[in-house]
Amino acid sequence: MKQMLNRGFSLVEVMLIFLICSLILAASVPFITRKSRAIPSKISHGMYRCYSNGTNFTEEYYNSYSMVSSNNVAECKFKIPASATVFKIDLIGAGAGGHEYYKVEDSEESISGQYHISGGFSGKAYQRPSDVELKKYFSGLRVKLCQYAPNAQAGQSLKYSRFSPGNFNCRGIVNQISANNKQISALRSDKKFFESNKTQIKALESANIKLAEASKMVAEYASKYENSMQNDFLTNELSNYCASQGWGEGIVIASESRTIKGGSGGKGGYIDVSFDIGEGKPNQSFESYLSGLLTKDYLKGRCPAAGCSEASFQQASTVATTQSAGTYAIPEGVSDTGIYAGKSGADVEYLAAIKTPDGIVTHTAPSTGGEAAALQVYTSSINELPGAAGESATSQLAISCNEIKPYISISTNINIKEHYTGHGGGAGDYKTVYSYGLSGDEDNNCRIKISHGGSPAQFGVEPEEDLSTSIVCGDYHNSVNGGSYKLSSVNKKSYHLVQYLSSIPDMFKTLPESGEGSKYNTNMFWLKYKVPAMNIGAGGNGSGIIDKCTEPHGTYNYTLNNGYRGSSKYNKSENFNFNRNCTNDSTFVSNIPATKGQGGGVVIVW
Amino acid sequence: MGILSIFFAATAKIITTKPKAERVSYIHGSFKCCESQCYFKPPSGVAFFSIKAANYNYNSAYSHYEPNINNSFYINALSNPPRFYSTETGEEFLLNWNLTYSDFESYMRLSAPDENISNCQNGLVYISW
Repeated sequence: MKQMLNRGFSLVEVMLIFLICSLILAASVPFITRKSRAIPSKISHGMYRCYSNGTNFTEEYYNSYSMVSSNNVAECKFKIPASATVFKIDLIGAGAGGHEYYKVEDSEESISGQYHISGGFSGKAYQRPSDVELKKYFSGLRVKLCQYAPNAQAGQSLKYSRFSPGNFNCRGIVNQISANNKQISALRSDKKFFESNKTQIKALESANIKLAEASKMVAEYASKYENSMQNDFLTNELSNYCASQGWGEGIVIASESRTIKGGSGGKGGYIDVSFDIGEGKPNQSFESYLSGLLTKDYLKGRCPAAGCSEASFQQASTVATTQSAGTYAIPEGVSDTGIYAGKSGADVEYLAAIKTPDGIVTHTAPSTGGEAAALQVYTSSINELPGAAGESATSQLAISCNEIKPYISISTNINIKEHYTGHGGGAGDYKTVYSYGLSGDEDNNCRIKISHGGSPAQFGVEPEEDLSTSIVCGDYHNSVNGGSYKLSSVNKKSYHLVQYLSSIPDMFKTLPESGEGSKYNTNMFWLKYKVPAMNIGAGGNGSGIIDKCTEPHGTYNYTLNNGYRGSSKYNKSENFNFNRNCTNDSTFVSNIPATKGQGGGVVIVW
Repeated sequence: MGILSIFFAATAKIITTKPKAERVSYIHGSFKCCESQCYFKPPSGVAFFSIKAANYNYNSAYSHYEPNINNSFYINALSNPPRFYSTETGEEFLLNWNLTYSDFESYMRLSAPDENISNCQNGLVYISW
């Protein structure tokens, strides 16, 4: 061993050492000569929240994935993370408290209702009448019912034309005069040969004079038939005469039109009955009797002509009638030769009936139609025979024949309970601000001021509390206002006692108005972790009322109207009172207290 | 030996060199969606995201800044307002229009002049970082 140490390195060994050192040196050259550079750091993200939990504050830190810490602290301080660059800061002010105000008052309203025998009870009045009350009010009310029968028809009138002597002629005469006049007019208009035409014009004028004389002869002949019918005269007399003279047929230049009237129809009859509504029916409740009155006991209908029974009475919307067609009856002593007659009016037999609780009443007497007009024509004269009026079944009623529908009016004055309560508080304001870099105090903290929420306002007096939220990070400062109190008005809720008469409740409970909801949107859609939605900065609830004085008080009145039109009224009226035995004092009325607003908060995301 | 001395001196320099202070590395980019379904996976190392949305037909637009987006989500740019939703959690985020379309156009002209938005007038979501 000692020999080996004394011997030293051989040349080969030294060369190998230098070779190894050379390789190490060559490999180290890139590291030795490279300039030193810092390793980039990764940007960190996270979230900070601090909000009131009533007495203290809850302060939470999150990293990119989950909550890191949660502490109950007396003061919020944000430790600024070193590697964060951009901060989104949400500031939420504290909510105002509700308004501690309540008052209960009574007011009154008038409401009405009616009880009709045709439709029962309607409206919102105090209560529907009892059976005993209904009978009491309808008692003694005697109503009158009636129906008219339709009128029998009138007889027909007759229209005809009479001969008028001066206005007939023969067609040959009329045509020849017309032709002569046209020729005379043409000859006179020819100025060039007027002198040579004079002789011809004179001859034509002479011919017209002779034709005019012939017309006079026709008129003289026709005057013998002055009272004849126009058509018969033309057919039988004038045309024969004109033909015998060589003047063609007879023609009408003008005639006279005349009308003779038929008789009017007879007037129909009517039914007139009356009964006492208030009597009712034995073994039947009065209300049941009234409800069936118009559908069972008082009906308009019809019966067979021979009479009427309960079984044969038929309810009908249109009353049946029988009708016989009339014809003209030729007067005694008058020959039926040459008679022209209209049609007489139909007779009407009225089969109506009225059913009342007392029985069925009918009326079957017929009314006769009017007689038609007639015309009796002779060779040289005409007799006009006017119609005659039909026979009336009976005279008209003295009063209008209307439906009778008596009813009861019910008027009620009843109290309304008015509950006045305070509004809920307004929510704290909310805003988002961005900051590129923050620097805190000596401990690199931001100092944050948050209110625990506004106290309820007592009867219109706003508490002197600072509800704002603020953050101070070195020179950086920002803040947001708290919610507003709503003291300038109050809520009003009305309880109409009339709606609770059939079932009086144990209490009227007016719930407090909720405070305004938080303006802060806790949506954490962008983040990995999910935090529960919070009502940071919401307003406190207003006040409510529990009211156990629920009995109604007031008056009500019944009035009976018999329903007649055009007749004196039969009215009855009576007043009633109903009173409660409670008051609006603290014995029966208490409040649901208003609540304070929710505290504010700060959320910082980086 | 001289060579060895130089080698050890250089090594000592590397060992004794004081590291320089850390510096933050920013990355930048953008994402545009004008369809009924786009998928957005946020890149890491981003300081903050700017979210813009617009709909020419409603003359409406939206602007929002969010420093911390670490969820992937889908976007429906054609609904009104645009809808952000996650098929995993079922959550969704609806925008509240807070700008006019002309405000949005002004922003895009200044911030992203190369972006062509004319073919996205029925609904556009633009995320930049």
